[in-house]
Amino acid sequence: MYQTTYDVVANDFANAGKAATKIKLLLKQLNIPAPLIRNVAVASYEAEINMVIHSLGGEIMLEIDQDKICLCFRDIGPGIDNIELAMTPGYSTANERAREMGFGAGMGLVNMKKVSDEFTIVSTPKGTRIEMSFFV
Amino acid sequence: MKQALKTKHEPCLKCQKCMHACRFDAIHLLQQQVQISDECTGCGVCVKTCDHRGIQVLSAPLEKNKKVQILLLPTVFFSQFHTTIDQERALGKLYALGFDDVVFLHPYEALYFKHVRTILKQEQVRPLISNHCPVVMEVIRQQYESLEPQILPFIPLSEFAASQVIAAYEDKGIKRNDLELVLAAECVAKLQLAKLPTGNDTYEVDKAIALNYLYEKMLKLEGASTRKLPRFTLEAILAQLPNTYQNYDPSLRFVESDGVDNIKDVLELCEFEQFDDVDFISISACNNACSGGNLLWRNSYLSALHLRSLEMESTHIDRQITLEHIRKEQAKRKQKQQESMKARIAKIEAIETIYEQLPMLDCKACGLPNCWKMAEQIQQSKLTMKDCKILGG
Repeated sequence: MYQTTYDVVANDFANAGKAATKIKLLLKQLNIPAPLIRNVAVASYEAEINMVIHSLGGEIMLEIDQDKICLCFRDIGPGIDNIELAMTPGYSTANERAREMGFGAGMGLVNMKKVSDEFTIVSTPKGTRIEMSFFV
Repeated sequence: MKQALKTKHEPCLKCQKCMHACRFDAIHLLQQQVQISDECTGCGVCVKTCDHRGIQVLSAPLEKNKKVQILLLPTVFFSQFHTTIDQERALGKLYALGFDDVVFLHPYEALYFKHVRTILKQEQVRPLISNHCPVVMEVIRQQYESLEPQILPFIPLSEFAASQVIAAYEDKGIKRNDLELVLAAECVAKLQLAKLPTGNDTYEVDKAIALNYLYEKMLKLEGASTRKLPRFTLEAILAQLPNTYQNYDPSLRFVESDGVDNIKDVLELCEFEQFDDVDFISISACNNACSGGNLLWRNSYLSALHLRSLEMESTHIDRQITLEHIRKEQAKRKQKQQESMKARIAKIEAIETIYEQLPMLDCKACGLPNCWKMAEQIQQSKLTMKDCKILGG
């Protein structure tokens, strides 16, 4: 089993997406099939951007096992009020600054669920935890 | 893919300028020799960086080997000359070099530019990615495999032109065996679109000659007559220039980029599916797209300017060629040799352990472009920690 962790800094738009890029590079070095890499890449990019926009910072944990890739995104922050609403395509609470930078189209959670094989989200007013797994 | 570049041991000072310049970490200095690895995409940056001609472009020779020698000439050739009379003289000199026929690629370039719209109507995949630049194709093949289904399904236009030329000559009773098809290449990467110089037998074109090499030969000729220029089509000219798709057709959404440093920026975001509302992405490795081809001798901005003045006399293309003529079968990728996941993870972990002991400064003093590459070499027992100039002293 391979494990590693990446830190994500809130509101750091200049570096938003870098952890996802690193994850993608690692999976390419591991010769994972391209369509699977694409799914993991899309999900981690969306989740990382979400963290940058909405949270006060957090971390991404990556676990690669023989038959499974697991990603856990854990942040401290305001949490998501209404998860059901947040899972509606196009629904977004991104602030103006984030939207000005082209983020916050309201497809993040929807896409994550679409591309992953397992998806769980737990959110409290103290923070959010998203777990996704992908079968190799 | 084998690229049309070779390193020369003799004039090389081992100054590592090329290694620092390479965007793809493809240049290594091992055993006191500059080596170009498989990661080379043929972008040609190293050729221009070297002050000592230590990296040279391989071009097929000019010699005629068959009864009829035909030159396939891209439109950018004419961007290298300032006035119409210069262009006519240059064309005359090309014939004087011994070519029996010069086939202009401009109708094919125009077809490519126009047919992008047709295929966008047929294909559901978004965004589609241009395939005119062999450097970009190589970057995708090596680093962005998941984007391969999004590549425009066209054959290289030199191949399309070749098939048409062969058919036209066979109608005249001249057999394929008596024809020698020569592609004039405006960039290093297009030199691989022929059997020679790289030995790429999958292509119909017999050989590719570097345009600057042709130009050298032309300069030695004196007093050649002029030849009348063809009527260029607008689309053929637009196809050579950066940022032209969007103006031509505002109803679709395009992302257009030129310059080798921007390739990965665009492909990276594309792989994160951030361009889903874009219809077509056109990427060229050279500055100012093909008008800045690295085997052209004029500054790329001047080339673009001259091309635009050709545009003034242009007409629209009227030739009817269906898409089926240029559609390419999607090549099936060979299944990679796979070790078990466990072995692959173990290997990465081993490399990481070594990497963390290295200075992680990517100083390149050891002759490798970064510490990660060094760690890989050490893991394979090809080098040791002592080969690190900082640790080994």
